[in-house]
Amino acid sequence: MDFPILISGEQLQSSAIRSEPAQHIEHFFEGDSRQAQLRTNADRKTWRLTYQNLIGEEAMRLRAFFEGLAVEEEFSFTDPWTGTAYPNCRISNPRLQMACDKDGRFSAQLEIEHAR
Amino acid sequence: MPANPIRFPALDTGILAHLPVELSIEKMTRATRFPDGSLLFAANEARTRYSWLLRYENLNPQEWERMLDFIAATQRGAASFTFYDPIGNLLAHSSNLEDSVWLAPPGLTVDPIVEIGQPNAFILTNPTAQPLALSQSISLAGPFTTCFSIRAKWAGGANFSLGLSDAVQSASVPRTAVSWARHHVRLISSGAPETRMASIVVPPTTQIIVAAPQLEIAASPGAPLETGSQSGVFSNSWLVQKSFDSQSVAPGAHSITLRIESVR
Repeated sequence: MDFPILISGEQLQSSAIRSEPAQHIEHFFEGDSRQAQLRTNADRKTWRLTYQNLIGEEAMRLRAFFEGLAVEEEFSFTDPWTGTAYPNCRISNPRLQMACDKDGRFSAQLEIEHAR
Repeated sequence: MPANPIRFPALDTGILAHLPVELSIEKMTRATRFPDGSLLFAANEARTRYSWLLRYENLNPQEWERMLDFIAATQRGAASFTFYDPIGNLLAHSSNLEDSVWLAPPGLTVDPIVEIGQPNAFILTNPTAQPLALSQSISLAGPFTTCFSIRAKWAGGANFSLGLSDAVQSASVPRTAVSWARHHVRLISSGAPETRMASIVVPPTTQIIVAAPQLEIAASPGAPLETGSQSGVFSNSWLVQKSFDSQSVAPGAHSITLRIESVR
C-alpha cells in the first residue's frame, strides 16, 4: 500500500519529528559493569507525524490506510529530510490517533518505524 | 435486529455526538522483537481496538435524562452496547459495490470501472424497463438522523435517485449526475427504528458511474471513508471510565464526557 498524500501533494506537515533510536541492548552486571550489545540492524528510524487542520478527506485517507494495513504489513515511506525511500516501514505500536474539532477539521498523530 | 439491546441515546438533533470527537485506533497482537530489531507478529491473533472520547456540552434536560438512563442501563459501564462510529462510515464494503452486502436485483449490473482520480468507481447499468435499486441495509437502532451520500457522474447527464428508509419512513431525492459530484439524502427518523436501508435507484435504460457511498449519523455528508468487511457499527462496545462526572454549567445545561471502547 502507498502511504497517503495530502491535498498539497506532500506526505506530511512540517511538524514531523525524526528519531534515531539507540542501536544497542544494555546488560548490567554485578560490580557495576555494563555491556552494550549492538543490534545487527544499523538503520532503525522512526518518524513521528503530527497533522493539524486536515480536511475530512485527508483524515479519512489516513484512517483507511491505517485500517487497511495488516498488523505485520510493511509499506514504503520516504524520509522527508533526505528523500530516501525506506521500503520496509510500519506504523509503530501500531496506533493512529485522530480528532475532529468543532469546525470539522481533523488532527492526527502516528509514528512510522523503519522495520529493518 | 441489533446484536445488543442497550441503545446509545440520540440527541434531540438526531445526532450521536458533539464535536470535538477523538478517536484512537490501535492494532493489537503479540509481537516478539529480536536482537536485530526485527519483529515477529502473531498476525492471526490481531485485533483492532477503537477508543472514542466524546464530550457533551449543554445537554438539555431531556437529552441529559436519556444519557443518564443509558449509563444506568449499562450498569455504569458493566454491560456492553452497540455503538456507531460518529466519524465513520456505517456501510460495509463501500469500496466494493460488487460485494454481497450490496443487494442488486436481477437485471441491474454492477461493474468496476477505472476513473482517474476516483478509485473504486463502479458503473451501474439498468437495461430493463423498470427502475432498479442497488441497496444495503444495516442495523441501526434509535431515532438518529442519517445521511446517505455518494459520488456520481455521467458525461451526458443521467438521472437517478438516492433513497434512505427505516421501517416506518423513507426519503428519496431525484438527482442528475453530470461530472463527479457528491449527492446526498437525509432521513430524520422518529420512534425506534431498528434498521436503515440506503439505495441508489437507477431509472430504466440508464447507466451511471458511482463511487464512495457513505451512510453516517449526520445532517449532512462528511468526508467519505472507505470500508471493507467492517462497517462503523460496533455491536460490542463498552464505557471505559470508572466514574461518570457530570457538570451542570447552567440551569438546564449539562455536560459529561464518555470514553467508549470496542475491539474487533
